[in-house]
Amino acid sequence: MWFICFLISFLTVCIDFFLAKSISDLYLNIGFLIIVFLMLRNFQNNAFSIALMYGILLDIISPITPFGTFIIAHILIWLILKYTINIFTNTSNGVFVLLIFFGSSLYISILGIIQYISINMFTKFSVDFASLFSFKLILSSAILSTFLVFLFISISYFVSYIFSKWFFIK
Amino acid sequence: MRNLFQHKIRISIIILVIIIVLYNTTRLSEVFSIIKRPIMWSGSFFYSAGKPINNFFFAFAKGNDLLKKQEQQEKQIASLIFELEQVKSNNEFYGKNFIELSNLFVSTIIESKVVSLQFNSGKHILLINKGSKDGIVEGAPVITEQAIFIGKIIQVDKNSSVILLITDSSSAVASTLYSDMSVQSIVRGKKGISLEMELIPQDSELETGDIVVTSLLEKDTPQGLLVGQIASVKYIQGELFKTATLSPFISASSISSVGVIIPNNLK
Repeated sequence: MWFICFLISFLTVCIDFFLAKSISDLYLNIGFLIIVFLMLRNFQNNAFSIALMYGILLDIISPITPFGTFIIAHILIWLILKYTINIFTNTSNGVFVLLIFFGSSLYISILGIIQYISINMFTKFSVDFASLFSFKLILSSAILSTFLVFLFISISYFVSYIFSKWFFIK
Repeated sequence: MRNLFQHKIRISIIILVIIIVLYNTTRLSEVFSIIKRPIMWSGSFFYSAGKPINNFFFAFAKGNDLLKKQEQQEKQIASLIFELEQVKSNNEFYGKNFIELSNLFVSTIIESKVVSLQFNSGKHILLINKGSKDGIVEGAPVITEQAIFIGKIIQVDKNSSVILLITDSSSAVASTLYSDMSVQSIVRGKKGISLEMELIPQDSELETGDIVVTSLLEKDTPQGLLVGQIASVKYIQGELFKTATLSPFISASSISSVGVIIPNNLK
């Protein structure tokens, strides 16, 4: 199971950190979405493993940011999700979309704050708060994440509908 | 079961804290740099794969604007060809590759591939796949094959390095005019997209379209590397200096390979 978690984390890092950056300036949070999805399905153990590995991989490849920043950030995010996710387990699709939207915004903001603190405290570089936070960028990234989840749900419904129609009813 | 899970998490967190402490205090970072190599290799593949996707969406979203721009640019090209012929006869860097440029600069140029473009931690940076193992050092200037100055190395690992782009707000480079090298000024990055030329003496004559190059005053950087082209000049009566907005010669997203200049004194 650890190997599968590692493979998922590795792929999501490649998508979020490399692929997404060559397409647009927006933050893509597939890693976070997978953690949320696993938490909602009550796979807390696996969600923790992925959060941890995703954090470690980001720490290894992220320039400027001191090692440990993303690990701590992802453990913190996992803990927040652990104590709040139960509220959203049996909710409607609308609330779920809102959860993804606000969750993504919060995730980017938490990462930004932790990065700001660790860079200014533990490296020779300094970053100012204004350049680190772009409200427009956070909002656009959250919309992108929500859209991706919506797309994923729609495709899943469509595929399951086609599958059931062609393979079971006939 | 729940207790076992809680127990596992506590142990994992303790192990992680120990790894973080050891990473920052011992040579454990060297072990991690071995893991970094395959990640960078895969990342480079993903980064290259994203370029055609980006081009597709860009063409899809801005196809009409692109057509209009193309018409304007075709007109511009005609006049620029004439200017280019003049520059070619004067510019010693024109049409040279990295090996020829390194002979010209009397330094070593390390060719490297761009792995990722990042707006990371408030900084506009490029990640490249060569590091201290290949001879890259902090502070080294980075250029494209067209001798366009794109930034400086700010962080070096064993197998990778980080370039702070000239367009980043915290970047500054001593510059001069290509046409009049007596004009000395500073070019600063502006929000990651454009450049601003500051501290230009009021008596200096500069016009829109003038080419700005690196100055001899810039540490460890050859003189005459292309920085940008003047887009507008701001002059306020009573102030000591003029400022000018420059448009960079190349967009960071279109850079796929770079050359890191290692001056002989930095080796």
